[in-house]
Amino acid sequence: MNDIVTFPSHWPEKVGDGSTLSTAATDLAKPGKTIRTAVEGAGTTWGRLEGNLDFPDCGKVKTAITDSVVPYADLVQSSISDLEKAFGTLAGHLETFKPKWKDLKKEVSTYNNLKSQPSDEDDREDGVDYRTPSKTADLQRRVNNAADEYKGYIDDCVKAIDKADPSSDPTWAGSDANAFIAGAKKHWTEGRKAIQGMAAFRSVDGKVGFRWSMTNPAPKNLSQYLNGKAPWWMPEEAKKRWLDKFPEGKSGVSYGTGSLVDKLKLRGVFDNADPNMDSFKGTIAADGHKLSLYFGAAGTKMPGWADNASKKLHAFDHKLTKGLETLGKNKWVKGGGAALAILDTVSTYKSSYANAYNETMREHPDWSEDKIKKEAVTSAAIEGTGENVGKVAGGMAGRAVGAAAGAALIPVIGGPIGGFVGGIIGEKVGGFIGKEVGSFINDWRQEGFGGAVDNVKDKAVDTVKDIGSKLNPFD
Amino acid sequence: MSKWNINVPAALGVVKDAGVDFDPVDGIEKTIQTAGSACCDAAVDERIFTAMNQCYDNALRPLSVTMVKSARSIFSKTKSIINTYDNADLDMGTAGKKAETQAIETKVKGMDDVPSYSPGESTETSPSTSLPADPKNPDRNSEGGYRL
Repeated sequence: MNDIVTFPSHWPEKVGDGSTLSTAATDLAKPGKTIRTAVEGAGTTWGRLEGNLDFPDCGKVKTAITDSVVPYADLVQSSISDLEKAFGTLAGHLETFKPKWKDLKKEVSTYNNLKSQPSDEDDREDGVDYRTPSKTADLQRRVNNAADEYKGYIDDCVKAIDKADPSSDPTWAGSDANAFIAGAKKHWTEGRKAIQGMAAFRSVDGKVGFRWSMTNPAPKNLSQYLNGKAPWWMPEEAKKRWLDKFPEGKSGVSYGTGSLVDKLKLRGVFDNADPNMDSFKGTIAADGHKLSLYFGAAGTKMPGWADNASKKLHAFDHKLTKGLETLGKNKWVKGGGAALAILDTVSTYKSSYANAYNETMREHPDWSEDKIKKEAVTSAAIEGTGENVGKVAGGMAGRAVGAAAGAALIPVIGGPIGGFVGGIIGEKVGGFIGKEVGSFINDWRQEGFGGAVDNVKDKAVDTVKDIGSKLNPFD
Repeated sequence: MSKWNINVPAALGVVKDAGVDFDPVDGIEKTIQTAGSACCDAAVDERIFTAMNQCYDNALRPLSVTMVKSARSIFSKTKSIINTYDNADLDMGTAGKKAETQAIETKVKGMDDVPSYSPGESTETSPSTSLPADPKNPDRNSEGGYRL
């Protein structure tokens, strides 16, 4: 009789031990942590070259660790992190599957040793357990299902390993190791450059603003500091004009400390800046060893180069589409690391811009194209900033963004708004989802405080509401 | 301030200390290999090993080796720049020190060069603790376990 149960071809002869695999997965993460610690340590040490090594083009030496070591560290760590998750997930499945697999094996062995049930009832003995077609079919179904289940777990794990392997991605396929390495580094570097440029877009009603970061202590001479840190897309002539606004010896910095409200009230003013720049105001937020300077030319006629900021944003969009979105399709990138952070951050602005553009067009069909674009840029700067900073604060991008974005992350629009957004998010984002904070601030700007409150309804922005009731920076 | 101003002892100290910071990653590709092999052993399934093997050979190993080699290259070039400056005395940047200036410029330009890589290359500076490969089956170690 053919009523015995058989194991399908994909039935596993052996099944791994979930507990052992779980431990091995945890151990696999350790080299990633070792890399992170070593690279961060070396990077910090390397920072001591500042002030001890000065010659033409020495900047390339000073940024060498960031430029040529960190990218690989991020890539390897990201890949290892994905692998740890893949094995951890498989370990969890094996923990529950293995006992079932063992039981089924035993059950099949026992069952197949039973006598086949005689077709003639008279030949059957009382109290004897026979193999029957229905019992065989049931057990066979359970065996087949278990084999399918196991195959599914392995398939998923293999897919996850493939995702953790950049060389398996079409972006890299066919490249040899050296070309792959060079390509990986190039993408990382391009991404970083892109976000640095992205951090400088703003064009709002004749106002323009930028955000730079500076290390402690805050420089007293802005001209020296700003040199070389202007947005990459800014024409050289404009950079010179910009720097000329901060003559050496005149461009001092003062800034407020204390609570958020104090910071906003004591918004830093460039006391000694060129008299023509009286309208420049900004805030400086202290964050550990880093000071972030936000300022904008509130009420200032926008220079010619900045007049094209919206167009630059579109050009950047194009660049995103052609370049960074390729990176976005790289499944491996999504595991984490600097590349993810860059892409995620930039994409947020892009997405915020697109949403704001469409929304503005719907709400203000009578507006000119230029006005809609400007409004979209404003909204994207606020909401995108909120969302991105929220991600950073939430640890989703965290350190990677700091390392990758370097000098420029948070875009700023006009001085008062930019200072407010940067300050409120930097100070208060911990307990919120950044995007909601950004949306709230933008609603506030567009519809007044009451409208913003109506729009947030039950969102967890109570503290923001509380602050909003005390202070309206848009007045 | 002069355009050429290197605090030689301090700068050399930075290079040395950064090298010490980086010491733990010497041979990191072997550590990853050992840890990855242990995962394959625990997972048992041959398909897992095949996928991991590819990931290691095509990405983890070349990228981690390149990371270490890049760092070592940066340390070495920077040290060389500092020593060139030190030996050139105080007139760097002048016509009389053109050769030294150019030598430094060349090293600076090459600071971000991607180092070469060949399969099987190791950054190990101390003896490995991982089990050697089975000579008859490179995919297995001497105790029969998976070896990436």
